Amino acid sequence: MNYFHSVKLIEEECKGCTHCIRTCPTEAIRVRNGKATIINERCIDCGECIRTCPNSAKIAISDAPELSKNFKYNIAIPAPSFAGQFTKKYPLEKVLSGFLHMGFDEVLEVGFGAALMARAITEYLREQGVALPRPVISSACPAVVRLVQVKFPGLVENILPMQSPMEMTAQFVREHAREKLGLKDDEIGVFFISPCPAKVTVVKQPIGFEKSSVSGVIGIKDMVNFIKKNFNSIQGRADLQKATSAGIGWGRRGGEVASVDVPNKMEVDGIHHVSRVLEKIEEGGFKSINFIEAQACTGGCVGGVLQVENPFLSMLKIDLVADEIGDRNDAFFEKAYKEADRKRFFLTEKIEPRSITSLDGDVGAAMRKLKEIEALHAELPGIDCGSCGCPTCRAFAEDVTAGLMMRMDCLFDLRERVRCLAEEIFSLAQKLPHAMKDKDKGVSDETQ
Amino acid sequence: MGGEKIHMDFPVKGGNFSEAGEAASKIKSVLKQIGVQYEIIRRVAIASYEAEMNIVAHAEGGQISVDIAPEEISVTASDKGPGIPDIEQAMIEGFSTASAKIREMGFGAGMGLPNIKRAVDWMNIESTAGESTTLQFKISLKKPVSQ
Repeated sequence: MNYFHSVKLIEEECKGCTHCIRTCPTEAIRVRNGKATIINERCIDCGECIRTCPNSAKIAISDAPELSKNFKYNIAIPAPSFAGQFTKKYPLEKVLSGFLHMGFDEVLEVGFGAALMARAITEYLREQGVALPRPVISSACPAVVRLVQVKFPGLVENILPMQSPMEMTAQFVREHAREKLGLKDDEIGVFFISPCPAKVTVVKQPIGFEKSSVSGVIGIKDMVNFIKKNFNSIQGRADLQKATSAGIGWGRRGGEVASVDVPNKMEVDGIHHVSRVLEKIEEGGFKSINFIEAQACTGGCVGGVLQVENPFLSMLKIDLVADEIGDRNDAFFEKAYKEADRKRFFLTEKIEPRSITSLDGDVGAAMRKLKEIEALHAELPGIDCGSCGCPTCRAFAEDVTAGLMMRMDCLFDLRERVRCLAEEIFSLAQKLPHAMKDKDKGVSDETQ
Repeated sequence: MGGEKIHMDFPVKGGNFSEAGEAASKIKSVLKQIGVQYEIIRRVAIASYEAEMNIVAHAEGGQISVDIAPEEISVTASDKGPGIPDIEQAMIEGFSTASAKIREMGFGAGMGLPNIKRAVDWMNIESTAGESTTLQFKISLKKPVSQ
């Protein structure tokens, strides 16, 4: 299958420096012919390489705001973390009005959908109780969901089979536009204002359902720049801020855990920390935990690569905004939750594993390959220098066994061979022909 | 099946909780590469982890040896340590001889051996009190056994 990816490489900017290959959580990058290349089946669009690249050669593609011209009626749905991007100087209500200034017809924060999901998840976990595989892993971060699919395929059943706040919010505004304004589906454009590339991918290739209600995904940084530049000419409207304080909290680490009302829950952020927790779950750990909020970015969505503000400052800002909102939107939320169709909260398809680890379809053949890999690995220097373009010596051994690399692509191996060759040349050079031998001085090879 | 076999040995240090779990983790990644079903890998991982933790928590040190054939994985965890004076009693859920210090660290709940028994297709324990313990278990790689 051909997977769509929002994380891309600009070849001209890439120096082939190998920084990115080491930080990729799925070992999806190799440096070949002096340039990084991304292995399609392995990439989960987490954006870790974008953060690491010192030459800005990795980028996240998102949709251009102009895409909205294709629709009659456009709705912006900014992520909860969007509220963390502005200092006190830019009050949230006026910031949200910026979307109307830009030409959107309507705006609703995804924090609204997050609160719906928090309540729905709470009810689901309480109803299902011990029937669920423990621990249940949140499905809100698409990079984590894909990490589970490719690297921890046995844990797909632990993923919460429920929709993301983005999808809930998109469905809600779409339905509203259809019913109240009499619009047809293809006349309505719903645009998610996103903190990360993983959301761009999940809209194009949904996991666990067929078609996303989102029409396009615009990076938060594009919107923040526009709003700050045009701030003085934006007409502030007081009725646009609809997310509850709990919903806004989903923009940062701990927000999910704080709003899902079950005992024994935990949060983990940063893709490598998430990997370690998933390892432990595979080994039978965390059985007493009911719910795990797992986020690929440090600090949660505020740490996404399409953000502009420092993630830690953003967390503080989100807390301040949440405090200020207090309970003023609770009535709106309660009404919406009561009217919501419960079926909508759930994914319609099973999340399938997409394992990248198996060496061969046949167990016997896989074992043979594994033995070859182990034998080669034992001969390698084991310092994971990255000079061959593979993230680790182990990955190099796997690539050689798969026929993608040559043994001599290891610099240490090459250097050792050059040394042996040099010694041989040296010893050959000493073997003088008889005509050149000096009998008195006796410096022929036989005498040494 | 070509009679392929893989053998691996992992030394385990007693009392070293910070490195504990490495053998189980390595066994798991090997089985993933061989393409064994997830449900079976999960059972092997749980049983290996518990066996490794038993050595770490109770013994001075030991070794985990693994033999993988296309049909079956067989694991032997052997240690030098206090031994298990009453194996039947040790198999009871909640029975534990772990020290207070180990319990404080969140281990020693008395579920180790019962958890292994639930996960495996066959197990055997041989122990000499005050000397050593050898735990062996086997899990079929062919198809998951209904639990």
